Amino acid sequence: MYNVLLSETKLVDKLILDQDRKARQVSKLINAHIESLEKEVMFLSRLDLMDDLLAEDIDKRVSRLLKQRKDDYGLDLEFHVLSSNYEILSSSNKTMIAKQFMFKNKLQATQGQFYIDKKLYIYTKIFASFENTKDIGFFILEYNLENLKFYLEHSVNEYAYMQRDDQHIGVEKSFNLKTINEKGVEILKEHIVVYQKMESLLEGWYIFYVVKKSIALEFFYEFIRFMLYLSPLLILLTLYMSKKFSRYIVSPIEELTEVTDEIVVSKDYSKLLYMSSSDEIGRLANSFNVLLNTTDKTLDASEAKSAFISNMSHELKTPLNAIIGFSQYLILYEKLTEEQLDLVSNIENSSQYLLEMIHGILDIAKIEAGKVDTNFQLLDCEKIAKDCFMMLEPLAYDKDLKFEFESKRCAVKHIETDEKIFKQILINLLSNAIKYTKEGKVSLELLTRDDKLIVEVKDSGIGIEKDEMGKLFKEFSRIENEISSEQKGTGLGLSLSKKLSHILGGDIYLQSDGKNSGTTAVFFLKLKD
Amino acid sequence: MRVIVLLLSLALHGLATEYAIISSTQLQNLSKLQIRAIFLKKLTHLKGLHIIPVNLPYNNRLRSSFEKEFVKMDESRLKSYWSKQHYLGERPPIIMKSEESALKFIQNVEGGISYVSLDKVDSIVNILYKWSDTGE
Repeated sequence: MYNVLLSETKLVDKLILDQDRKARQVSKLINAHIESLEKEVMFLSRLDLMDDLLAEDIDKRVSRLLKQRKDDYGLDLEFHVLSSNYEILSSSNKTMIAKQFMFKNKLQATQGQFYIDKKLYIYTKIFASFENTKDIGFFILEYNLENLKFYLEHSVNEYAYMQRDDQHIGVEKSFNLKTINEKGVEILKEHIVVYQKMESLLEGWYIFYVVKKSIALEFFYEFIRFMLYLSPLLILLTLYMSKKFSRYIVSPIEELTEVTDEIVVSKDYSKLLYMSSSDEIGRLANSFNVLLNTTDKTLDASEAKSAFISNMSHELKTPLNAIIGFSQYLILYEKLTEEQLDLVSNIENSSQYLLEMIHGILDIAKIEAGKVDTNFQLLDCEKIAKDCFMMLEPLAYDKDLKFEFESKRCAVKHIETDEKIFKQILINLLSNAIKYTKEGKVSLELLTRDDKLIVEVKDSGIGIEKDEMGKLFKEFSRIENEISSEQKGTGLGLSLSKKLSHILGGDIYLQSDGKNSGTTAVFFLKLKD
Repeated sequence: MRVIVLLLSLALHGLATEYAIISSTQLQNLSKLQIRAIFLKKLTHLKGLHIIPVNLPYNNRLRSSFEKEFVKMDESRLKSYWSKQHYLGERPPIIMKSEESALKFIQNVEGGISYVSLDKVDSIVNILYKWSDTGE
């Protein structure tokens, strides 16, 4: 609707512009016409022939000339030549000859013009050809302005008229406009009126251009009506087209979606899409099939790897347990020399490390195989954190580290999560912090922020360079540093923790300002509302 | 025979037209030479009065007679005279179409001078000269 209104005002604007241009053009034409008449008056009045006035034009030479000029014009006009005492000596209208000119009091200047009703009089004094100071009469053109009708357009849609006071030329109808300026536009109820002042000899006259709104905008309204009639058809057509094309476009996509949904749910990547079309959708389906194929293969390989690792680990655990058991037996019950004790302790240590690693690998394999059993329960998070803290306190105590627990900023008491995994993550983080801190303190803080439960483990340890932070979460990767050579580690801890945190619907990240400025491990869980 | 000659001469006399040089009342006592100078526009003012000579149209019998009698130039000489004068900015006298016009002009315009048939002259104008032409 707004658009419709907009285009209507635009149309009206254009109409006004059009009328204004027309009015200007016609005004120019009329002016040119009147000016040419004025020139004619000047020209005729200066003819030598006018000397005949002094002989009272008894030969009728002047009258004949005037008649001829009038006939040439073929307009409603008369030429008169007056003697100095205002008697009409010659005229293009015979009947006027010898009469007194009626408006002699208007002939004030050497030349000029005046209006009597709709008649424009252009006059000039006539001077003798032999003595240009001797005025011998007046030359007068009596011009009926109705002649200008010829210039004023008339049609059903629009018409033009001229107005001066209460005189009209053109149509008899006129509009009472509020104010009349030099030029302007008035939009009336049914009409648009554009007017402008006329110039020079036609001073005081205005030219008006009138357009009947209903007719001028008829086409526009017609068009709107047409559109209104057409719109249901268009809607029907659109519906038909969309229905038709949906078969080509939407149904393959629907099929695609269905299959992908099915694959996501069943995780059966061996499924394939069957598309008969060879267009973009067909190509998409093809690519999708290729992708599925690759994924299937990759997953197969990954599964095989996990199965292999898990089997291997089990196979390894049995002899390892034997090695550890026998080593401990040797240390405890056999009287070994210092040297032997060292060697056997080494065996036991290494075996323990190996076992730890196998446990880690098993965990990761389990997670990757998606075989981690979770048991979500509403738990007292502060209590669990405190438990973990207590559990690791002795380790910190051994290293003479300040070990702190804080939970003032925690707004929740209970959280729905898996206790085992939650604990495992906390212990991992805490033990890491203690492991990599020589002196200073390690703190555990429980807090809530932005719908998240956050566990922050801060230490004053060795810190991490920014570009190495990403590495830490990769399996089997450790950062080479002074402590790592002293500390044993499988490099699985953080990677495992991160994977576990994902299972709980959270994440872990590290913050550090660089080497020797401590590290903060942040573990957060989304709180369910 | 004498009678015949007398009758013939009388008849001839009767056929011969009499013409007159006329001027507005203010313009009197002009010599033939002055009249010639006026019609050649060599003389334009006399005693502060602007003199306006008025000719009749070309090929008018009266005009030819007048020019032969007073201007004393034939048509081709006059033509060449006026074409020279034209370049000096001088134009030949104005022309009235008829004797009646010329007469009216003289009546109306101070300093006007022209020539008409004697029988057309009324009392208002001043007759300077009269001449007759037998049409020979």
